[in-house]
Amino acid sequence: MTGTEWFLFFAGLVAFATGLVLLFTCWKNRNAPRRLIAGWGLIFGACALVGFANTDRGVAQGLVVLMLLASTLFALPLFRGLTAPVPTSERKPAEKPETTAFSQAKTIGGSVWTFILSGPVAGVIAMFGAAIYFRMAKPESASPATAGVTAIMLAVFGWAVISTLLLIEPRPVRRTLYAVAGLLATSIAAFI
Amino acid sequence: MGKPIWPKSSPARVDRSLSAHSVMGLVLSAILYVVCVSGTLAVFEDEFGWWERPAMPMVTDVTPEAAQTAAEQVMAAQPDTTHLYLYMPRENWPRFVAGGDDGIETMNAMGEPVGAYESPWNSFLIELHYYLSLPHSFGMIIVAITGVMLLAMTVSGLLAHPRIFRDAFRLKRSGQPRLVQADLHNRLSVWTAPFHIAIAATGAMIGLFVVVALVLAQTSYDGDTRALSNSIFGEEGEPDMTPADLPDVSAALSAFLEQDHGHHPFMIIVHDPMTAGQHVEVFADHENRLIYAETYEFSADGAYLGHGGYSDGELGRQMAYSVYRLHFGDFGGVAMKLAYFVLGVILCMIIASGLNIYFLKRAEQGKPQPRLASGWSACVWGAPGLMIASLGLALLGASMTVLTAVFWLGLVGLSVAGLVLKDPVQIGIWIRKVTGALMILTGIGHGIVAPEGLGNLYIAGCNTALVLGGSTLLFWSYIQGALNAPRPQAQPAE
Repeated sequence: MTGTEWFLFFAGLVAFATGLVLLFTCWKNRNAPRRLIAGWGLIFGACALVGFANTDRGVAQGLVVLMLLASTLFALPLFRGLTAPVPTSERKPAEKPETTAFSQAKTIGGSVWTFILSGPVAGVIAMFGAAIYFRMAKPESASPATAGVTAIMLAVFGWAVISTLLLIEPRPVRRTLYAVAGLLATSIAAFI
Repeated sequence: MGKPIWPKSSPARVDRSLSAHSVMGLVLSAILYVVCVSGTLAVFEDEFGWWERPAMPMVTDVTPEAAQTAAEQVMAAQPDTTHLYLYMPRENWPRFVAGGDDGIETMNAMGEPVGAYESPWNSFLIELHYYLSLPHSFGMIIVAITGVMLLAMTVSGLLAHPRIFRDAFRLKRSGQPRLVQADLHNRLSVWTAPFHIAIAATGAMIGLFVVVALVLAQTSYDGDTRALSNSIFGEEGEPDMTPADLPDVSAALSAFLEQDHGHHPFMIIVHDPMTAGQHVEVFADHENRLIYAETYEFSADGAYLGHGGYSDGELGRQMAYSVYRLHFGDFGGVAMKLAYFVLGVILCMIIASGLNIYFLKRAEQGKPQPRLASGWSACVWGAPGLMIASLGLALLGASMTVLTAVFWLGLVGLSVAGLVLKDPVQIGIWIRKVTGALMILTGIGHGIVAPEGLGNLYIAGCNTALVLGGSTLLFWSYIQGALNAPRPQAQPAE
């Protein structure tokens, strides 16, 4: 990096630190909207500065420094000790509801089914969804590299989001219906 | 206080998100934790690889003539290799390594082989992090799925966190243990979320590339499974297997250096060596980019043919080539590696505290699970402890198979010991004490067994880190043991 680029990079790091401090003081004193705006503004401005200094590598380096700075804020008080993760108060053990072999088998079966839906089935839906995107985005004559990489990213993020959404649905029948409908729709659309 | 600007979260949605987050955590925590602990240490795989082979010479510069000599040495040792690799010294990796399909060796500055490169503990670490010690094709997909699930947990965690801005800096150190653990878990998760998303997504992309390529092959390429890979990383030309002389690697490297674009060459690959179709590919570091490298193609006689376009070509190519450095933190020398190590430790803390919250919540509900909590504590402290124990065993000459067996059997054994002991705090203190002592012994032991390595900054740094880290762990464990002396009340039986 040239001297100017180093200057921009360090200015960016200082802006990150200042932005973080402003957000912290704004959190301490809730009636400071200007500080809130200035704090976020400095953090976004710092991203631009480190980006000017060292392009995408600079942004990655700057964000790592920001995360370390924030973690340090939390790490310092931890050196003064932390309550051990052991229960301090006892409660009378809850009475276990009577369970039959059938209800136990039903619970286990339900858990396995949920696992299958939110794991492999969600994955297949995401993969076929990515394949549909790729077919639509792939250029006729030029290189399909960008569409291909975007499809891989869509498959990964799509799988994560679909798994979460299926697990958030509390009713097992609806969860199954959503998953089966998604699977049918994406598989048909991907192979047409 | 004014009306908040953010829409109010639905309590039902928050509850369901929290429930989804808990289910994923319960199913995955142990595997995810092992992947994260090994990944945290894998940031320093090069440094530990050198630590294992301290006699490896430091090489800071390789001349074109030395590169040619090394290429000739490799071809003499592996005449049937389809690719020839020369790994040249770079900023925080002052070594020269060369090889072919059947393995790589360390070279001196003149390009002559001086010994093996691969080392048992490093190989064990890589097998563990990349494949969970499973067969490669299967293990890589399993590890990639843990990456996807880490992303899913980030999504569900954020959805389950309605006071993300209001609590941005809140951290309780004392009081109700569940709230202390929840604060620790939430604050660290939120502030380091870009790191989790980056490493989880890039890890999953690396591992699932083959699977996505397979799906796209069926839906868009009439079953051609190489089509996606070729479109992103370029296609190798038709091989011409007519015998030929070894290519002029020195001419290619000289021609590259003469171009004088300021990019440092750190790897050379000769494709199809000693055939008429052979060509030389020089990988150069673009220090202001996240891309792994830009590639420069040369013919067998050293004539420049063009570059790969990873620095200035299609956006997709640039993105694909940026995945590796983003995942391993290799984009700012030792400083970034240290930062990634710290962020990795934080991720391990987040996973550990996540399950701690579950056990504390169960106890609050009158359904304590002290055996499982104790088993989890043994797993949390045992995994890094066993990594250190295996490092010490590698120093004594144990093979990769032995190290793998020690780690997995040890982890199962310690978790069972935790279940039997039923005391999460005490077993954690014991394992930390043993780990601290092992770290000190390994650091000092290495200095005694391989004193020649002490002059090497990287090896001396590893030893110092082991001794200092071990001393801190030991000291902290004794303090915690002393504080814990009046034992907490016995917990009700499960």
